[in-house]
Order: sequence, then structure tokens, then C-alpha cells
Amino acid sequence: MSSLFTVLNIASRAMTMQQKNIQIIEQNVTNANTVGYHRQEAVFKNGLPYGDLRFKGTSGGGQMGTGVLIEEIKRYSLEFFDDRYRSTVSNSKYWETQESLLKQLETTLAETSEDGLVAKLDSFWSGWQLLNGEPSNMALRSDLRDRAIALVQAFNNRSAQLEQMRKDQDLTIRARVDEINKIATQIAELNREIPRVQALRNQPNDMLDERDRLVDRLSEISGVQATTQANGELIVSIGGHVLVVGLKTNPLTIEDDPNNANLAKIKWQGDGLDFNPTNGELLGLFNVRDNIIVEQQQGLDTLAQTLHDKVNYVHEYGYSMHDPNGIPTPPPPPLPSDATAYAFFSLASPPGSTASRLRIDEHILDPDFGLANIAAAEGPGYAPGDGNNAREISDLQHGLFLNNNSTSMNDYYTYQVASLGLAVKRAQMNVRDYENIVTALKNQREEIGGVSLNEEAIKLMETQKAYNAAARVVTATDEMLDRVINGMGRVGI
Amino acid sequence: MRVTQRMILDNSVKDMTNTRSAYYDSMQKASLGKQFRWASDNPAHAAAALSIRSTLDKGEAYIDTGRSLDLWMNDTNAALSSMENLATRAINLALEGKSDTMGVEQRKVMAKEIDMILQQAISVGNSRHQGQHYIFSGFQTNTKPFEIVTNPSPPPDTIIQYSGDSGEIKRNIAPEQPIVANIPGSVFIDPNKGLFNALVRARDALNNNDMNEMDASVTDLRNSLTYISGLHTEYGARQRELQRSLDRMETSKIDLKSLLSQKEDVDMAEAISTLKQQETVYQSVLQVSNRALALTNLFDLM
Repeated sequence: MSSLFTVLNIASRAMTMQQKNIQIIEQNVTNANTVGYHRQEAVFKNGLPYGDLRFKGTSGGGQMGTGVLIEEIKRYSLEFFDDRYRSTVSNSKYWETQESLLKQLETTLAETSEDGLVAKLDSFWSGWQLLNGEPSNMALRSDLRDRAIALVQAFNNRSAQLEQMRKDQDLTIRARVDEINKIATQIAELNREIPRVQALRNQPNDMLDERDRLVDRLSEISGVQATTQANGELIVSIGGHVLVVGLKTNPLTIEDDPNNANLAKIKWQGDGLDFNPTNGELLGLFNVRDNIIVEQQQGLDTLAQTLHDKVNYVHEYGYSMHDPNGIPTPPPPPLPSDATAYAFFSLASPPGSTASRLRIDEHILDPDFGLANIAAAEGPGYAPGDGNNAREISDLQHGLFLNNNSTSMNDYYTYQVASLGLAVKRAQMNVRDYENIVTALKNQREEIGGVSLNEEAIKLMETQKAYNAAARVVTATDEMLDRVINGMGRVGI
Repeated sequence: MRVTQRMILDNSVKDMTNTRSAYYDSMQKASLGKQFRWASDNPAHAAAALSIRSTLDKGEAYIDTGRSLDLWMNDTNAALSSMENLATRAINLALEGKSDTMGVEQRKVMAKEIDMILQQAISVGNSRHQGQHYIFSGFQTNTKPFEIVTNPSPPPDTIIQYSGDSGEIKRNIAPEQPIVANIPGSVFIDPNKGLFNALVRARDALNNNDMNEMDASVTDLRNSLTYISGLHTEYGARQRELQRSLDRMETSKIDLKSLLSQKEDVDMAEAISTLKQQETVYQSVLQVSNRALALTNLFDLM
């Protein structure tokens, strides 16, 4: 049976529900710019009806509604878009990481500037050629030695910088592994909370947002597969190996790899299997650390070794400049084999790459006799006009010693500079391409889950009107009650 | 399509970043005047530019050493010409002295004259390049090559002593193209064809009034002249080779420079107009973003 109090009840519930709705709208509006926020919306449902068919005749109309209820707070998200977004963002991050590292490498090496190694090599060869013109000119000898020192330093510096870059990336890799483990723990934590809330038939919307954000970040770091279970738990795996299942995490550990200069090697703690990133920042870091820089280093080493071997071979069979009185300076070199002069270059003892160990031989650096020890002559005795050995050394610049005797030293390095440039360019192009795709997918996601302020404003107006209307119903009911209580049964008074 | 707040924000930021970076690129190109700063900006051109620049640098060194070598060769050429002149004068004198009308005393005077020629020839043999390096002493460029030594034991004997060696100074005039830059002084004291020996012989023959010797010395002098002329011609060919190669390198320097400029220099007109265009694009992106972000939403009108 309908009563005025029932009407009051319905109106008050309506007010409560609209108020709740305003709170939800407020949540959306305030999070309009929050990354990873999915908009929420109240789903209204009419209240359960009451009334008995048997009494249809009495009150008329049969079952009566009991007003409005908020059945759930819906969270707008599409797992399908999330998966696509994540796999693309992994690719995008992979290239982005490589691009920034390679760019850094290219900038440090600065090969296209006046300071490039090719320019230093040219200057070294020209030094020998100038000495060929005036072999007894001490100023030219000194100039040549300076050019050679600059060249050797260029090799050493480059090698050291490459080494340093590998170490820097190693630190980043270690930091990223820590981050993965931390995220895994957080996801496991949410895996406990979310099913609990869902079991109570509630929507853990903000926790879901948080978990999505974590998975997004994981996909940036290493590429990830995530599947939601019926109970709300998320199974997360990387490269086919489970990282989080239910409340259990399967953390990663870092070992120093003795076969790879003690750089980090990642393993799964549980079963000790190798961890292989399939995508994302980590794959980019690994690729640069273990392939691209190593290739550059090897190229540099090959060049340093060739320079060392070829120049020494010619130099050792030349004749140094002797004192005009015919006294060899310093007294006869203790040389192996049938060489007649000191080596020009030497290699410091390991450890380190060849390029980092390249030095000018100590006898050439000798403050008293070093300049005279440069073997510019092809014949013995003091012959101030004999610069033929210097010419032979200068001719080495044209020698095709590299790439199966097809490439000169200068061309070899020029090619290496160009191939690094190509790698950077390729990465840049991929970054741009993936950026466009990521933006498109992000927009798709946003289209579903993002907040539009206009929509919220309209919902707010609607809700306000509904709230006002309910309040008006209360007023009307109040007046009716007043009539019943104070105005009824007073006939004739 | 639902357009949300974040979409507008993200896209505005992205567009601003992109156009700004494009603008920055054009700005760099225009201000540097180069098409690329790093190899990755244009790997193909950068590699080409590197190797062209390297070739240019090397060419520069060849041109430098080639020019100084040319001066050295000029000196040698001049010395050889003097030697030829002296030899010709000596031949004329010897022929004149040989004639029957000449008396002993006259022949002695002529012998003196030939001795003068010998002195001159030796001083030419001792000539130095830029007052520093002896040009006829082989590798021993610091050693005076010729000295007249008189052996006093009767009969007095004149020996021309050579202190140089037979070293061939090789210089590269182009990559792996060496030429021999010098003529060792030993050619002047060759027993049969040497000018100095022939001069000594002619002088002594006139002094001693020895007809047979006079005949022989004239033959020797003629042989030596032929020998020196031959050497001179051959040497001239070497110098011409050097000059041709210098010319070639100068030309290729110009070619390479223009090629390098093609590979790495920016077409300024194009660069500036691109910059202008980028500027317009950037400004309009700023305007659009400004409007989109400041656009009133319904809340402002409620």
C-alpha cells in the first residue's frame, strides 16, 4: 500500500543517489588529466518493486517501484585496446632507448668534426710525407711525433668512452631489473586486494587503474603479456616466463658475467633460467651494450692493431737518424730478429682493448734521442737526405690491409662512422613511426576511457536537476503531511 | 569520436614538440650552413664528405711537398744547364787549342782558361738548394760533394774527390707515385763520361802540349756533354711529370671542393625558406594549441 512516508523514502533515496553521482562526476573531473585514469560512471537501476497482485483492486496499479539505486560504478576500459597499446609501446621504447643511446655514442665520438679519427689519421700520414721531404729537419720530426701522439690519444679516448658507455648502460640495466621486481611485488599485492573487493560485489576501479599503470610501465621496460583471470587476478609473464601469478612473484636476479667484462646478466631467481627481454627498453639497452658498442670497439681495435703492425713493420726495417759523428743514439737497439730500428708504436700490456693499449714506443718518446730514433731513412749511416722510409710509411695509407685486403685504414673507419650513422638514422625513423602508432592507440584508449569535461558538465546538470526535483518532491510531501496532520478532522472548528 | 581532455593536451604537446624540433633542425642547418652535423643526419653524404675531405687533406700535403720539390728540381735544372754551357765552352776551347796555329804558350793560357771552367763546374756541382742542402751529394745533403785534391808527387796529379753517395732521393708526387728527385754527383766523375775528369784531361793535355791527349780529351768532353744533356733531358721529363701532377692535383682540389660543398653545404635560399616555413608552422601550432587548451568547456558557461 502506498503511503506518504514511502514517497518520502523514495525522494530521500533519490537525493542520496544523485549526490553519490555528483561525487563520481567530481572524481572524473578532477582526474581529467591523470595518466592511466579510466572514467567512471554510475549505472542507475530502478529499485525493487513491492506490492501484491491480490490487492490489485484496493490500491490500484499492482506492483509499485521503490525509486532509484546505483547498481555499480562502471569503469570504462577495453582490455583489447590495452593489449595492442602495450605491445606497440614496447616496440616504441625499444627504438627510443636505442636512438638516445646511439645518438649519445655518435655525439661522443664526434667523427664528423675536425676532431674525428679520420682527420687524425690523415694528419699522421701527412706528417710522414712532410718528413720525407726533409728527413733531417728536427722540427718536422717533432711535428710528426705530436701528430702521432694525438692519433694514439684519439684511439685511447674513443676506447675509454665506449667502455664507459657500456658501463653506464649496465647500471641502467640493473636499475630496470630492480624496477621490474618492485612492480611485480606491487602487482602481486593488487592481485590480493582486487579479487577481495570483487568478491564483495564491489568495483575496485582505482586499484584496477593502478594495476594497469604498472603493467603499462612493465611493457615499456621489457614487453609483457598480461591475462586477467576470472577471479580478477592478473597473470603477468615476460618472454614466456611467468613473473606474477596470483600472490606469487618470480623475481629476477643479476649476476656479473665473467665472460662479458663482468657486466650484468639477468636470471630468473626461481629456476635459474636466463632472462631474455623480448622487447622494450631492456632489449634496446642489451642490444646497444652487447652488439653495437662491441662492434664499434672491435672496429677500433682492428684498426689500431693494423696501424700498429703495418707502421712498425716498415719502421723497424728503416734506419734512425744517427748523430753526425756516426755514433748511434742510443747505442745499438736490443732488437729481436733482423730489425734495424725501434718500433714506432707499442701496445701496453692487457687488460683492455687493443685501441686502449696503443702507445707510442718509449724509445720514440725519449726526451733526448726520441726524435732521432724515428727511422726515416732506408739506408744505414747518417744520410740527412734519405727520407725514403718515411715515404714508405706514408704510403701505408693507401695499403688495402683490411676487410680481406680490400679496404684502406681510412676507408675502413669512414665506413664504420657511416654505419653507426645509419644505425642512428634507422632508430630515429622507427621511433617516429612507432610514435605515430602509439599516439593513435593511446587516442583509441582515451576515446573509451578518457574524461571529457563537456560530458561531465552535462551529467552534472542532469544530476543537479534530478536532485532538485527530488527535493521538490520532499517539499510537496511535507505539505501533504501538514495537511493530513494539522488540517484534517477539524470540520466546524 | 569522443575527444577527451587528455587527448587535446597530449596532442598539443606532441605537435608542439615535433614542430619545435623540426624548427630547431632547420635553424641549425641555416646557421651552420651544413646539411648535417652528425653522420646520422645523412649517413651517405657524411661518409662521402669524410672521404672527400680526407682526400683533400692528403692532396694538400702532396701539393705542399710537390711545390718545394719543384723548387729543388729548378735548382738542379739550372745547375745542369750551367754544366752544359761550361762543357760546350770547354769543347770549343779544346778544339781551338788543338789547331796547328797554336803555340805552346798560347796553349798554356788556354789550359788556364779550362782550369777556370773546371773551377766553375765544381762550384756548380757544389751548389746548394736554398743555401742549405747540396743538390748533388745523394743522401749526404749536408756534405759538400766535390773537392779538388792535388797530388803533389811528380807528376802533379789532380783528383776530384766526391764525398756524396749514390742515394736516390725519392719523393711521392701523388699517392704511391714516387719520382727520383736528385742526380747523384757521381755522374760528373764517371771515368769515361764524367765532365770533371774530361776537363782535367783537357787542361793537362794543353799544358803538356800533348796532341794525342788533346784529341782524346775532346772526345771525352763531347761524350760528357752528350751524357749530361741526356741526363738533363731525362730530368726535365721528371720535372714535367711533377708539374703535370701538381696541375692535376690543383684541378682535382677544385673539383673535390665543389663536390664536398655539394655533399655538405646547405643551399641557403632553400634553407632560409624552409626555416621561414617551419616558423609559420610552429607559430600556427602554438596558436591552435593555445586555443584548444583555453577553449571554454561547458563548465565555464554553467
